[in-house]
Amino acid sequence: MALTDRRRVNGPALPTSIPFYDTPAPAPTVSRSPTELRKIFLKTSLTPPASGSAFYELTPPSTLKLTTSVYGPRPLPPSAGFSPTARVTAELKFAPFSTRGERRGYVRDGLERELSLQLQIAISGMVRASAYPKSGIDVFVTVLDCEGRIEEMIGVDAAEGEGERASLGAMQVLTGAITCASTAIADAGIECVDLVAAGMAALVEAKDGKDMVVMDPSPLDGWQVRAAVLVGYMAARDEITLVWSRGEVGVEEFTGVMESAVEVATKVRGVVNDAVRERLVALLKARGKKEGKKAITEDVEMTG
Amino acid sequence: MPRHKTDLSAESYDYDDDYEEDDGMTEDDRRQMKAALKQVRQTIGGDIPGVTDADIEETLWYYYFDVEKAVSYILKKHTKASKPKPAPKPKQVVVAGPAPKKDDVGQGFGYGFGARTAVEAGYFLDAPWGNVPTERLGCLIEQLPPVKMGLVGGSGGPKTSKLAALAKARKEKKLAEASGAAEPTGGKPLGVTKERPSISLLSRLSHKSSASSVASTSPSPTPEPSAGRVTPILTTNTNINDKDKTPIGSPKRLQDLDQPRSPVVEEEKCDLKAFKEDLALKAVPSSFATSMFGSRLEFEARFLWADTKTFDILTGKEAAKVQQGFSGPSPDDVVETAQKGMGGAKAKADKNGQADGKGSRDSGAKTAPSPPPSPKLPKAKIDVLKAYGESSEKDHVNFVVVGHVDAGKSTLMGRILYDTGAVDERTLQKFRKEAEQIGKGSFALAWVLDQTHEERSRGVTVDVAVNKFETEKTVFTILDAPGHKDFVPNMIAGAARADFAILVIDASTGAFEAGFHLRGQTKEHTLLIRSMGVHRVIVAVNKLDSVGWDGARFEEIKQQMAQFLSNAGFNEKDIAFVPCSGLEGINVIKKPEEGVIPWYTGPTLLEELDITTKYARPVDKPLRLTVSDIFKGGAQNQPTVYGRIDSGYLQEGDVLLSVPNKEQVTVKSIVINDEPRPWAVAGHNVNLQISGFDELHLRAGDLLCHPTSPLQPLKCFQLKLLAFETLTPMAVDIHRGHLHAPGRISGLLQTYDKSNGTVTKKKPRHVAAGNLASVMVELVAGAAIPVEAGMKIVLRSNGQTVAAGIIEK
Repeated sequence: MALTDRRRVNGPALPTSIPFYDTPAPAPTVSRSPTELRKIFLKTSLTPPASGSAFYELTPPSTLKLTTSVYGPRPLPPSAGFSPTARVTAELKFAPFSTRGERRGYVRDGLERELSLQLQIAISGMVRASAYPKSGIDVFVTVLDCEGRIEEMIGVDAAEGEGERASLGAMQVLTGAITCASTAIADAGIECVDLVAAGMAALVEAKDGKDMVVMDPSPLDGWQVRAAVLVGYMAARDEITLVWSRGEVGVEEFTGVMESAVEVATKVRGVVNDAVRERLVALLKARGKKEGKKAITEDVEMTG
Repeated sequence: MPRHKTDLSAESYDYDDDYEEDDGMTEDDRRQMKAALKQVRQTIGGDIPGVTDADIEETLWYYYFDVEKAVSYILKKHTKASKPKPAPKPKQVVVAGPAPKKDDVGQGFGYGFGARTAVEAGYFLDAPWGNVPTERLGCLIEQLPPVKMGLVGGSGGPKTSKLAALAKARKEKKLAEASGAAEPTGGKPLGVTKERPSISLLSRLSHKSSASSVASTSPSPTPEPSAGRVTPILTTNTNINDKDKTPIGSPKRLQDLDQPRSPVVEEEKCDLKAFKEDLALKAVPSSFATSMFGSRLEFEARFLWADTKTFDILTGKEAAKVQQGFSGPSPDDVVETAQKGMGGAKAKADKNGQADGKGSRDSGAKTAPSPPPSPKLPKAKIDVLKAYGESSEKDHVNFVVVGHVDAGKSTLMGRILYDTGAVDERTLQKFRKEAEQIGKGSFALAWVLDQTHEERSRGVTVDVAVNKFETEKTVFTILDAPGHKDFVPNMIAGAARADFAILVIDASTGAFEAGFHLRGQTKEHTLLIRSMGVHRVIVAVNKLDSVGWDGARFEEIKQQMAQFLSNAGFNEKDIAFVPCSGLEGINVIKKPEEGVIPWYTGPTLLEELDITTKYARPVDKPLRLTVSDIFKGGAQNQPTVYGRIDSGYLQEGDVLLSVPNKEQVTVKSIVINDEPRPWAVAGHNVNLQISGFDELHLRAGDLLCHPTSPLQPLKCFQLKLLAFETLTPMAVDIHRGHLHAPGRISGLLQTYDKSNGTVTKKKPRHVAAGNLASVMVELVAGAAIPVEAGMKIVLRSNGQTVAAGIIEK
């Protein structure tokens, strides 16, 4: 047992048999209306040692689940050199068990690298980096469960079919990661100019052969996705921090899809606000009890 | 260092690139500039004074060679004479937001980077630091909320990108249609998806680059940029909250968007209830989340570990109080000032020192060689005298074995050690074998004590060998002294540590006589041990087996020795005679078999040893420890000194003073007969592990004492002695234990009558052998030796012991 790797989440010690279902998986069906968004459960302060943390999940039948922990602002290591502003780094990691059917390796792969980069771009705009010179803010996102199959997730260049749908899964992970990370940063008490919420919309081929825009598409919905657009959106400032699109789309169509994505992000923002506020309210209540309600009546600005 | 080829090519490419960027103009640009300048000059003619080529060029560059625009700008600017000359474009520093990924969005999304590089290189070159002319100062313009309009060009003629043009066309088309605000319920077919007639996202995205233009062209009042700071927007915007209720594209929404917002979004009191109602997307936790959060699903006070992270906004008094905290000097300042002050004082002192020179040097000398801190052992002091009185340990007795050379001293002692079990059979077998190999089979027992190669090959003892054995009552330490006349000094050293002596006599024919007469060592040793203060002597008549256990021989030796010993000053009751054979082990430990020694009924040698009166130790006298050996410390073990405590006592942690070098050493531990002890008293042969001494300054013969009762080393002393030879004022060697030093008898004071001690003659010319006398002894070589009144000294000359005595003063 001395050789057990304790640094990682290890698999079961004993072999387990893979469940085998002889009934074929039901064909994906579209059960939602194209404008209906899935509900989100978002909650802060899951990880005690982190400065801030959040948990994000979509309601079943969607399975996306991820956690974010934020460490910082903390001093940069000497090797990092001088930085007059805070350095925001983001790392997105898939848990080995996060994908259906096949375990993922521990080693960081291309997809994780790409998603990490996008995440960093999306969230670094919301932090008031100038308030934290010589500091680092490290954001770690762990994907606990995701939708779609992993080996096809990277197939972004495929024009249609599985490949495109699979890439939708990767984008959806990033959507959740941005929203969750933004919440966790706010939970860490880091000064922000606004909060980022992410939204996604896709251009799909309807049954009648026409294109239509679907908000918050899921890879499980079975759409024939032509293109998908993800935006990181700061609603209070009306600013976009990230646009990520996949597939082939014309300019006019692109605009429409992006508008929809922003709309989704705006709605998601309500959940983010509530999640951030939740702890603060509890905190103020606790202090109000302690200090005879003094704290709550005082002019305390609420972030959101 | 030779560079890699690809590196070189890459670098050269970079240089080219940089060059063009720095210059800002390509060759083509310059050509165009020239032509455009000509055109402008022609157009405006000479009627406007004060228009320099540089002005025109700058304007042209700004409008990128659009002659028409440039002319209109220049005319507009220069005809308004009252206005100060503005820069072609107000310098602005736009707070940079994160740029979207260019590749993803496409060029048309226009976060124009060019517009942000407000200050050209060298713009501030001639400006003094901290005093930049106000007209040159840039102003930090706050990030404005976007105005939902199309791309705003620089002047009348729109020059938009293809994308923006498309977007604009689309916008206009939609406005013209002015369709109803009904939102589609199903999927949105493209083109009808957006009811919002206002803006495209493309234009929204581009608001940053055009922010400044917006500021100047916006019809609504612009926020004051003078504050030059960006207030972070931390409050909830009503618009967002309302979004879910308000259909997108409704007039309200439009109105909201079109109103330029203050950078500080109006703060809204947090109405939590109202907000919660809007949370259409909020979900209940799944079973997984419930298990993840457990009882923490509802926030409770005890889970709010980040309590410290909330900040109160201080008002009025509190703020003033906080402010007050910074009114005084900071702790760092205090320290710095103090350090400065100290430095100043030091400098002053140095100055003073230089003034009177000597004083400063004195103080330096005083402070520089700080005494090495003596290690402190925090052990409590023991009352050694009390502990000694209470201790029930076996008596420690040292005895010296003396006798003529080849009397069998070492063999006899080897026999004792072997028979008491101190040496095992195997070792002795080994010695036997080795001794037989070099033809000295009878020496096997002696080899137990004679351990050096020289001693074994020559068959004689050279140095005092120390060993120990135990009986039921006593722990004996054997000091096996050499019998050879060449090593008498070593024998003196051994005798100095002894409580009593075993005088071994070779009973074989002629051997006794050789030792006893004709300057044999039997006599010399006897006199020496007597003069070293040994009172009791056991005469072991050895090798009686060689004369067939002849009782008459024993009697003969006993008679002669008894007379000699009583002459030498031994009491008759302190003398014992034991017949024995060391080689055969008869009457040493074991009783002889019946009939071997029919004429002897007394005790064996060991029994005789055990009949020892408890020796009175001068425990209460000041500590005197004569060092007989020093082992230098290694990497692991402490340096050790070996010696006998003559008087007094010591314990662990004591600080001792070495004489004559006056070095202070600390006792780390005390070992007596291989057992660690917390204390030791007079009579013990001890191993002291010590620290804090320089090996060069301590050597055998030195003396350790307590610093409170130090011994004053003497250079000249009066000695009451017994002369073995005729003494005249002459050169002698002074011996005391391991200590020996050259000296001389400087004066003969008086002789005494042996029987009653009365002075017989003052200032004699010489002292005859066998007489008592008082003499003055001086040391020849300068250094004093660690002796004091009451110590026993041996004087030798030309390899012979000439006298022994006690220091009187």
